[in-house]
Amino acid sequence: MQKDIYDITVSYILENQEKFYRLAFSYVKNKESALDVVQNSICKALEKCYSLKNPDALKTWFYRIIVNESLQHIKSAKSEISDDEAATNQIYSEPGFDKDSQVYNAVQQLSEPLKTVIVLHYYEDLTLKQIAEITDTNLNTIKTRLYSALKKLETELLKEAFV
Amino acid sequence: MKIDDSKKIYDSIQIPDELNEVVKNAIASRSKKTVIMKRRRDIMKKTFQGFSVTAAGLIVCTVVALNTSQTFATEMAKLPVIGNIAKVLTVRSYHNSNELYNIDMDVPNVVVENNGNDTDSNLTKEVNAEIDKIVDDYKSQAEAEFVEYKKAFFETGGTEEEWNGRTMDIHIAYDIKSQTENTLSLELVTSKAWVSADEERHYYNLDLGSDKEMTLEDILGKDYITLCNESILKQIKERMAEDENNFYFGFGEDDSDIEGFKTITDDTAFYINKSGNPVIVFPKYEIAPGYMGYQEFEISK
Repeated sequence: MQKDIYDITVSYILENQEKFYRLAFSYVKNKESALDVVQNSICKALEKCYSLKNPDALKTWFYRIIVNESLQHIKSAKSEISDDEAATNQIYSEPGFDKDSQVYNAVQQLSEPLKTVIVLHYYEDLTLKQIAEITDTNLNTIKTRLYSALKKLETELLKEAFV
Repeated sequence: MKIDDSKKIYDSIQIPDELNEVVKNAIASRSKKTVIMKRRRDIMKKTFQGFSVTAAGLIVCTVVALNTSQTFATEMAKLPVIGNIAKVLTVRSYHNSNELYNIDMDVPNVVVENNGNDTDSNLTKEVNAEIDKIVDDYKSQAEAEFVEYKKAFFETGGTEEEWNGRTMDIHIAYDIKSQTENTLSLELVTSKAWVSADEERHYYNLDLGSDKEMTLEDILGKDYITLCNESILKQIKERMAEDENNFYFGFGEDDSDIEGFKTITDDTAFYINKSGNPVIVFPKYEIAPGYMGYQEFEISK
């Protein structure tokens, strides 16, 4: 069979699977769930890949699927996991990165739309325009979200510094 | 702000050993072949949603210019002679197979024989023109559909190997249901078969004495609607009692939402059988599920 969008998608998945996992993990906060999200996203993407008209959009399209799958997972898991468990899962610390982990944890505490912008922009190096495509919102909204996320982080981290 | 630095934490999210296996399994579960097959099924489903409308009794006339480079063999072979007055001729007999289609058509026309000469009456002219139009439209529409299907097949990644030289069968035939000195009941059947078969039937009941098409009222009298409806309802119930697999819309125990047979109208198709009784014909899907096929009800005079 000649190389088409299906093959391109498969190579893209194989190359970037670790990125997908990290992105999913940053939402769902545990290994099993992150693996689930990655698996479901791959299945969904391959089933729909022939409707993707422009191969250049593959990256943003795939990120969009992962973000949506992650959010969906959180939504359905919310009813199952007790708050205590969720709280323990959210604490993520790496010795040696104290300051950095403070920032990282503060990012994790942001509300979903704000967190998505920070994670995709700073951790996944996507442009604001790409993020707008992924989240299906317009560029100005993304800019507003970014500024308000930075503002929140600043306040949060300053507060912590004085504790 | 050290957001950039906190990326280190993000990047240090540990990648579990199982990831690669999970990814490979997911890919394997959606192989190229399954994805293409599924997509093709979805496309076909969409196409067939359109078909059931056609089958429900609407005649869709998309007129596509007939490919004039194809030559029709015109055989003025005299086929069955009906009485002394009307005869049905196969005016076009066309058989052709190419890489796309197997076409098999016998197109009838009706002529009236008068003192040994074939003549046209207003009625036969009208009927013949309609038959010719139905046949030509059907053929060109079927051909266009198949070209479209083939295009979609390859656009969705189908290969020549998978296509495997599939063709569409187009079949046009006719049947003389009954004949008397003055009447002729003719059935024209157009069908095509590719991934699924689809058939349309057209009926012509000619009264050559008065040079017009017969109506149910002509045959059954002014109470024809009541007469037909009562008889059809009775026959539906009999058929359902006879075999539990026989099912008609609107007659199920669970009172299905699909409206079933209510009444015949002046557009309801019929032919006249050899006993001279009208036979009401409902296309597939009209009053019963597709598996029940065409439904015929003989109405005794």
